[in-house]
Amino acid sequence: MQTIKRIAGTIGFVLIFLLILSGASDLLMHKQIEGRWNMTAKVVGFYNEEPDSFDVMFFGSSHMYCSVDPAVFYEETGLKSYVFATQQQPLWITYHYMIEALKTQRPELLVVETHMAVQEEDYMDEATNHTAIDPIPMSKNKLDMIFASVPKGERRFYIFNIMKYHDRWEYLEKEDFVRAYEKTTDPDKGYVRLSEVSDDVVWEDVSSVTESRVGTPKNIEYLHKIIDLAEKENIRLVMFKSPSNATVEEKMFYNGVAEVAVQRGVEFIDFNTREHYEAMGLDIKEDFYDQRHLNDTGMKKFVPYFSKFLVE
Amino acid sequence: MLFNSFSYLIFFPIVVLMYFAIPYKARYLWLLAASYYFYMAWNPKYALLMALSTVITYMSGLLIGRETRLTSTIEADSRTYRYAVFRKKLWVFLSMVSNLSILFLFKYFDFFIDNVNRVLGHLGMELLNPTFDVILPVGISFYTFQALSYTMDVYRGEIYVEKNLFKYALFVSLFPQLVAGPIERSKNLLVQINRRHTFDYERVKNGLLLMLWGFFLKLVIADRVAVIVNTVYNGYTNYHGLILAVATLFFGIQIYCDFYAYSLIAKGSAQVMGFRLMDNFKQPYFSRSIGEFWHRWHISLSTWFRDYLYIPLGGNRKSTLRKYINVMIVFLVSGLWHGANWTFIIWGFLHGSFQVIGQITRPLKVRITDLLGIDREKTSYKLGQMLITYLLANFAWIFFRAPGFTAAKGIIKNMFSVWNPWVFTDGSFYNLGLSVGSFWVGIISILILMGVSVAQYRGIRIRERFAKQGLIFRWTVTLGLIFSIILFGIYGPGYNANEFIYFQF
Repeated sequence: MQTIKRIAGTIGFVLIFLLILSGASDLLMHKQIEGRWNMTAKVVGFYNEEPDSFDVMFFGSSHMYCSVDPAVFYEETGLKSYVFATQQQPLWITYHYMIEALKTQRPELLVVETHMAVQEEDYMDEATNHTAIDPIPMSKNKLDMIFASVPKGERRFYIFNIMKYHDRWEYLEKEDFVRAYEKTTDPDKGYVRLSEVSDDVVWEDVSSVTESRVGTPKNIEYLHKIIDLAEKENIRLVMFKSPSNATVEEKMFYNGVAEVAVQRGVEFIDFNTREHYEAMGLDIKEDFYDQRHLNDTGMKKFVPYFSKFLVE
Repeated sequence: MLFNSFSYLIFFPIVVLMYFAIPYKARYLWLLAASYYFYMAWNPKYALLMALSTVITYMSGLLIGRETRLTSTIEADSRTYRYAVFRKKLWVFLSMVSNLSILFLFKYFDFFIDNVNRVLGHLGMELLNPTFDVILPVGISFYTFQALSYTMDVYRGEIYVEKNLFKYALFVSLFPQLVAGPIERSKNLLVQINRRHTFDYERVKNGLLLMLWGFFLKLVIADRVAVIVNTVYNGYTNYHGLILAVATLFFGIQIYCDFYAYSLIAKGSAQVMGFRLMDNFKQPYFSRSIGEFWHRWHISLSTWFRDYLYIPLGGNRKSTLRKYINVMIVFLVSGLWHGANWTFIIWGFLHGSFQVIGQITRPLKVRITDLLGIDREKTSYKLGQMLITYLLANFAWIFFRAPGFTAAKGIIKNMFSVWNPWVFTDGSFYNLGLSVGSFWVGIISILILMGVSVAQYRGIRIRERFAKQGLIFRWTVTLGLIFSIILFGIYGPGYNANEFIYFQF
């Protein structure tokens, strides 16, 4: 009898501990919930969307989330979509974001922005990783994401992110306690609206660059994994490179992605050529937030043009 | 691996669960393997060194035991008897020389060459330049002393000769106390290795609580005040007066909490598995004399020096002068044991001198207090003694913590250069590496430790009382302690809001 009582007591104690730990972790976690780069709200908001409610899912890094506004895309195509992306998101996280999205959604089309193929490091910085990983609920996929994204010895700070954020207690604000974002959806469906116009954007014509650079083995591996995933799920996959005033070197990396796409029979479009810029009517003096990112006027030119490729 | 590492959080439960799951006969082998793994997490090569010390002292035990058996069967006056006694002494001598040589080579060689070169430099002679570039093996001073105590205890007939090499090896390497003590005696620990330890719920719970309190002292107090101590001591030229004084007091708290915490976690870890380790600290800062301080601070080391150095030197059985010399020898050696640097020797010298001066001036003190009609049993008098002892111990810490002798001198000079009590009100302490909140968490935690220490000093057995409380109280306090460590502990990569600020991406 005493043994049963003790076992029950121990289990009870551990459960209460875990409950408080989980609450404390949510409370202390650094949250990006204000302003345009409210990535925590955008990622968590996705989980509050109706299951099986999107026709198209967009994935990638900042090049993705400032290039397509699902509202504009809906006007153009009548298709519902969500942009499930975070800052500087590397392809390996994108792959796991796709798995995450497919847990609740059954889209007809998966779209992946492949800018991060230019990434030459195998691990991103802490802020990028935490931004992408922290808002994802714990699951095997999250653990896989952590193992793919974080070097050995640091993974525990992502599995138990209270180890990273525990000394944030001094800076807690009302929002940390209220956490309204946990119960709401993102009105922009993942889109980050950048309205400023940069006046020092440089454009060079890379249309004629045919040479290609193969990305790091890790990038190539994850490009294949992304394609494998789409094939396994039997969903159409389109990979693209948003207009970002590519340099010659970047263009070579994009050509490397194009080669993988050709090899695997997947659609890939790089919009960084003169032909596409002219067809969209993109103006570097008006349509960019900075050297690499479209602002909302640029987005409004890009989405109708891009939509044609996607729905045709 | 360190106790306050994530690895230990995984290592310890696995070791314990396996320990209770496997048959009694295999348990010591499992613990031996676990202990070597624990040690090799620092540097696998140095495990060989520990194994060497183990084998030497193990062999010395066997050889001394053989001579002891021999002497018990033959006449005390015979030549064979005298030879046997001689050989017995020889084995002790060889065990000591070889173990201390290893210790010397790895810990004191560079210091020794440095000093020889200093002398040679003064004499205008060519300097020595031997290359023996090694990192100090973790815990070498601890396990060497523990292993040596076995040789001497066997010689003195205070412990049986352990025939099983692996059991003996476990005595030397048992992971909870391996790298920072308590320096256990074979009389206490070796005998426990042969005992059967069952899973005792209350004992395990008690051990875990002890560990928890240890983690609190280490992560919340020691590592927190260390931030201030490091800031001030590493840049001592920029600090003056009370800032340096307070930083020194903080160092006294840091080293106490650090070392005491380690001993508690060691004791708690061992207790979970059924081993009883000795108490290494008993509220040292409430001592009324430096002599008492050493009965309360790092007890396993002071008793080691008492039994294997002070008493063999004659202790207090010879003349008074000889006793003072013996005290000085013990504390100079103790200083050197703590580190290969003159600052540690000075620290030991100070502790020895405080005691000798205290003893010499005792009659004078008695006469003066009698003359003035001061009651030496009054609380205020005792508190005064405690305060003076506390300040003396902390003054000596300056040499322990300062990076070198010149720095120590500079720190003392700067400390007494100004009287600046306004540092307590102008926020100076908030600029020493801790935020305001973090600073006050430290102060409150130190007050909690003080409260607990006062209770312990008055003989209150806190864990026993705690165990008698109701479930809600016990769980609340335990969870409170756990989450204080999680929230307020100094660990992890640290959080800085700025790293999340993006503009480009």
